[in-house]
Amino acid sequence: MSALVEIRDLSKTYGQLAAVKHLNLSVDQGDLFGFIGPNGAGKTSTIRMLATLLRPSSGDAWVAGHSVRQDPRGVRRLIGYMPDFFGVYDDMKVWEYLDFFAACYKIPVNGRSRLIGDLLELVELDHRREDFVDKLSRGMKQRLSLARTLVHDPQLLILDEPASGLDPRARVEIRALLVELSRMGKTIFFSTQILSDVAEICTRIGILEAGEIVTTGSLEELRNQHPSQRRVEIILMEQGQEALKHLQTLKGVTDAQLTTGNQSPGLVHLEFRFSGDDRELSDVLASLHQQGLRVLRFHEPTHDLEDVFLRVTKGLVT
Amino acid sequence: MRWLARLRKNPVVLKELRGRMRGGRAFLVLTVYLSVLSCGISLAFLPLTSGSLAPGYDLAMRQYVGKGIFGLAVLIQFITISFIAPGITAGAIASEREHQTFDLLRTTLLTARELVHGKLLAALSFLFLLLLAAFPIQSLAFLLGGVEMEEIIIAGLMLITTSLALSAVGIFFSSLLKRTLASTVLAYAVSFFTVAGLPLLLMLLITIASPLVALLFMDSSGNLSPLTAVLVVVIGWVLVSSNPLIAALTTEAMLIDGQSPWVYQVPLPSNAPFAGLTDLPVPSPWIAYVVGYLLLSLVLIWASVRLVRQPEV
Repeated sequence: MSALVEIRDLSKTYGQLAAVKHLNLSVDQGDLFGFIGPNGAGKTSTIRMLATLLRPSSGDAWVAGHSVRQDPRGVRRLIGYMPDFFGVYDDMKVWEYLDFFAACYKIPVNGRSRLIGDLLELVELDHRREDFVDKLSRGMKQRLSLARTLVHDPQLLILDEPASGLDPRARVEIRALLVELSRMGKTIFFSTQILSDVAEICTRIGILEAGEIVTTGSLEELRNQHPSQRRVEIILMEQGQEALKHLQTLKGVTDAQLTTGNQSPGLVHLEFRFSGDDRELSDVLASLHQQGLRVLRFHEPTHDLEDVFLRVTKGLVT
Repeated sequence: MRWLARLRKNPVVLKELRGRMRGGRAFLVLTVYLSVLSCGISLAFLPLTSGSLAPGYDLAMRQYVGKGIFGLAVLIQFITISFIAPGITAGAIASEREHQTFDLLRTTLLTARELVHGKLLAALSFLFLLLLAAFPIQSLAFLLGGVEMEEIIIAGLMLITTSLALSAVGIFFSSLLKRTLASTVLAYAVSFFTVAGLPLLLMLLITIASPLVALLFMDSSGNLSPLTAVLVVVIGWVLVSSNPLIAALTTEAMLIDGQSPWVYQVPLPSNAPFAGLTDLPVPSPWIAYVVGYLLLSLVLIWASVRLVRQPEV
């Protein structure tokens, strides 16, 4: 894998305030990179510098070898940028909106009609083609915005909180679109506050706090870097107390407890913390079976990224 | 012609015109403007339907009325442009910032120059539509005669220059300020000052400066020195040329007086010939107005492009 995005020693200061401090990061071709961090961590500043909207105070970033400082126009050819708000032209129809941005990217007129049709189909808005943009729901606008980022077929999508403020269905739709775009070969760099989305779809994750990268890697790598943070959920057919007692005797298991929640009748939910690798975890499952406990489900919920996040961040802001 | 082809391909022009002509607003503006123009010209025609100006009477008087009607139409066009040009340009860039679309445009391959030129051309297209739409009504004045071709051309050039200059002022403030409201207030203030403030200032200056000049520069027999006389003429010429209405009226007065439309011979005081000249030749006020305001427009457009191009720091 070659790095499509290279960020080296990138800093941004606003007066006395250092929003981004000597950031070093690389994003490989084809990555679906989740950029997470608390409010005020410097995510948007980083994204705006990468999108050539903000001049770095020091350092530089390159997209496919084009420097955001020296060759912003070269960078713009390669990126599709989506901010954390939807820029609305009230008096435009859906197709006109895409046509205008296609023209801004110098797409020839004769190819635009087909391109717009394909993009609207991709984001499932082809039935709203003739509607005015301001009549769309927020989720639809966000999908249209995503289609806008694709009009010039960029290599890299830079998305600032694409699921922010969306209802659950719209969020799921955006998430599915990101996966689909990643499958189509796009490299995606997006920031979000929704950790479960990151855990579910991202191939790599970067955690930013107070303007500095705290950790990067795949979810597996982050788990392994912070093994004590593994959290495991079990659903049993019955015998909850027996399972709990047995778990408490096993090596590496801590904080085992019965949990409540939206349980189905007759099923018992348990969860525990585990410090060990995958092999040792599989031994725990085998041990439960040996005890005759009827395990229906044994898994690490993807949102254990929250645990990693809480562990590596200290609640600092710039 | 390459620049014309580039402008035609500019996506901002199409987008702006589409937005402007969509809905009833443009139709309403055009209707009100043409109604006012029609009413004004109909009122000016009233004397012709009765009395001494009825058909078959004094030809010179009819031509005089023809000139008056043409002048009235041009005046209404000046006033309309002065109201509309700042209104449609002052929000051009600022509204992109307010609607948060500015960043989207800046990450495309659209250049700052294309954005500014596109906004300007779209605004000018609408203003020129207003000017052209008035032509059939305005041409009623030609039925009476008296309006010369050079007057039509000079009026057209001055109207086009005014449209460009006031649009450039609007675009400049829109690029400079982040809020449409602030930009609109300033653009209207400049427009008002140019059209109405300068004549007031000129009257005020004449009232105050005349006795001062007499007191400071006239000798005991009430004569100015040659150099002072030339300076007074030049300052007066600059002030006259800086206002579209005064420049147009002065030019018209010159033409009626039988002078050349290109050079205005300003008489110097008989006792103070300068370098042997009794008249000081200066370019006609309309030329100075057109050249001066075109240069000012170019400077403002250049500055607007610079302001839009600047990355956020």
